[in-house]
Amino acid sequence: MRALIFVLASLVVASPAPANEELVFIVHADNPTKQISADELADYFLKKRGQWPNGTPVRFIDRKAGTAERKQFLDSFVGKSPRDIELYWIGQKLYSGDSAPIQVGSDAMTISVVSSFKGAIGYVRGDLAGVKGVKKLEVTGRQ
Amino acid sequence: MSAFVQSSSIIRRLTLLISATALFFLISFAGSYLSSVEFLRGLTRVNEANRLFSLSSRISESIDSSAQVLAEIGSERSPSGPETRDHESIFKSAIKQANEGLDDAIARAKGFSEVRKHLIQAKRSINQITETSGEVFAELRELPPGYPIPAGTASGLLVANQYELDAKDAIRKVQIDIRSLSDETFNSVYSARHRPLLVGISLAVIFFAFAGLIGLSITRRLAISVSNLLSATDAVARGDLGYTSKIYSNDEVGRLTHAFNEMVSRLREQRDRSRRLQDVTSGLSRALKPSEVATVILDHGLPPIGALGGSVCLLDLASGEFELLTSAGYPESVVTRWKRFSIEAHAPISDAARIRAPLWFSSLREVRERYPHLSAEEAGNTRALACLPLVVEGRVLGVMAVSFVDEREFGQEDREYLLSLAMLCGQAMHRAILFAETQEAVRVRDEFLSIASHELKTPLTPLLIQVQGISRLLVRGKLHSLPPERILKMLKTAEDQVGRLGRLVEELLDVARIGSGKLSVQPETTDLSRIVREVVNRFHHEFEVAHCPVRLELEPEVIGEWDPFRLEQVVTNLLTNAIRYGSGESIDIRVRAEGAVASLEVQDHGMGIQSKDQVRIFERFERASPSNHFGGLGLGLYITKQIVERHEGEIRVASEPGKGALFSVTLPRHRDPQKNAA
Repeated sequence: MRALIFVLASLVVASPAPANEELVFIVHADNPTKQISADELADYFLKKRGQWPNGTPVRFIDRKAGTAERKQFLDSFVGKSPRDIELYWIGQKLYSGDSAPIQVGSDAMTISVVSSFKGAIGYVRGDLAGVKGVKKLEVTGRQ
Repeated sequence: MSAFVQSSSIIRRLTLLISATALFFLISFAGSYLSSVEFLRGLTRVNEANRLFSLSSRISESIDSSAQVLAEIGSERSPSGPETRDHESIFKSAIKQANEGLDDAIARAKGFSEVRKHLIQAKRSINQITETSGEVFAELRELPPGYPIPAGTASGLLVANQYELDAKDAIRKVQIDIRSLSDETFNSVYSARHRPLLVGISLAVIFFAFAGLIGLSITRRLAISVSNLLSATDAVARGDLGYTSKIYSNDEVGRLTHAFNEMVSRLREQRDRSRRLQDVTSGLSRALKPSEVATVILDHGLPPIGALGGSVCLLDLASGEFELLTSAGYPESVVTRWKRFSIEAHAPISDAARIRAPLWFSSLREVRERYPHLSAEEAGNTRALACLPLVVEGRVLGVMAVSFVDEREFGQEDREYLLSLAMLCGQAMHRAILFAETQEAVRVRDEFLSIASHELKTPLTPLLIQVQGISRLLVRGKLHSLPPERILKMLKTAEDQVGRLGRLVEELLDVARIGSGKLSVQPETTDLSRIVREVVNRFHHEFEVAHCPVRLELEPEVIGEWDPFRLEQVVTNLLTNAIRYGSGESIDIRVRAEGAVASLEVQDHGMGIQSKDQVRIFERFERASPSNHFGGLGLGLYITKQIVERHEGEIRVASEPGKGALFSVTLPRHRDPQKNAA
């Protein structure tokens, strides 16, 4: 927990410039999956698929609506507008009971939550150097 | 009765119909019960689902409450100790409620697998919430007042929040499933709402088709059969017994029709038989002779029962022999052989007469069993035989035998008919015999009257002449001119004629007395030899006239208790016959005493008596010679025999034609006191 605090603090301090433009997808450190396709990613996000290949339930960690990361994620990997997504989740809630993935406010939070759930997957913009508890996930075939 | 095979049954069909109806109702009830059960099950399921729904709503509320607590904690900058405790208790109670609700729901969701899965998932999430929130609350409790929530705790809150969301997702899924389940159930029940009606209608259609078919098949034939039977009964009521109803089906009505036909044909047979018996009766009323009776019986009585042969035999009690009167249907040789036979013969007819009861033989085998010696020729075509004795007033007159060419069980009807026929035959035979006897008696009486009038006239005429002669002489006054010897002679002649007449009249009176049982016999001590001598002396003149020398062998004194007057009659009669039929040959008379009896023998050597007449001559008005040849009434030997028998004696004759006759009389010398009561 302290390490985490330290990491978070250092991240805030050590990155004056805008972070890397690329979204980096992270999963829990114990997740054996190394690479997925963009379609798979979209499926995980839209809860069309609920389990990793090894059976662990997927828990997508989204970013808060309106943030740039989210916008980038939606544009590049899902191909739907936020409005579409909103409507989608209204419909899903009604018809399948699934609710929208949790939305966190920062990379640090994302990392924190992802490292708490074995099946978690989230996206960050920053650097992952020295971050423990999560690892990078390759996503191929972006939109 | 011809056989009727019942191959179908109205009753069975009706039973089938009733069973089908019952089955139909049963199936209908079962069907409607089943469909209502299904309906109920659907309703029950929907009801259960609704309960689960409301339960899950309450669970959801509890989860919300706990989530709210976490959210409140998260929103506070620095939660204080007491507030933490409040939060924790509220949180724990909410979680507890949620857990209880979930346990209840899981228990109720036994039949809802998908729902149960989600509920279990929710429970898992609640457990994770409890775990995570436990850590969070622990950290919060250690937090000094005024301190902000550390990041780790915040992170923990976030994780707990995530689990809360998972739980809520699961409950939401539960509710969505329940809703679609209810819809499904309702839709299936609603869409199947017509099914009971359709099933009922198709069952009803099948049933009515089935029942209709059976009903039609029963009633159609039944109606025809019954109306046919009704016209048949009408015909029979009118007296038309030739009706035969058609049998349309081999069921109970067919059986009834068949039985009816059989009954009508039996009635017809009986009517024919009684008509035939009437023919027999009217035929018999015209039959005067036994042979005529037998002919009527065989011609009219046998055809109605299908007999093709028969015979009537009369029994002569004196000789114990049967005489075959008439027969039909037997070969000539058999008829000749059985013309006369003894009652002791081992044959069906004799046996029936002896036991005085009918004998029934239903097959040739039965006849052979009892009479193995009967030849095949005698059996002929006979396959069944009935022998019935003709019994009238306790006496067996004869036997009627009836034979058939087929084996025959003699049932009640056959026996009654044949017994009636035998009774008619017996009575008619009895009448015919009596009639014949009456005719014979009349004939004999007429013959006697003609002889008697002739015989009585014979002495009367010369007597009248003599008397008239004397009275004429007296009238003319010429009587004194005649010599007294002449007048005496005339009177003597007259006296002789009177004597002769007197004897004849006495004989007639004796016969009358014998007939009424009043022949008087007054026994006294009598000497037979003396009587013989006296009679011989009296007949001296007659012996001379007939030129019959008489030889006497008389024992000196043959004494016995006899009526001398009657004995004189006997001797006189025997001597008269000897003279009359002696042909001028010698006559021997012997009288002997042999112990307790006396014997008298009169032997002549004249024309003799044929054996067939030797019995007859002792009967009334009988003479073994042409009627007018020798005069007399033919009563002599009859009276003689009666007198001898009244003395408990015997009279016999031994003779051959041309060799004379020997009459032997034996008389007991002393009467038996016990026998005296006559």
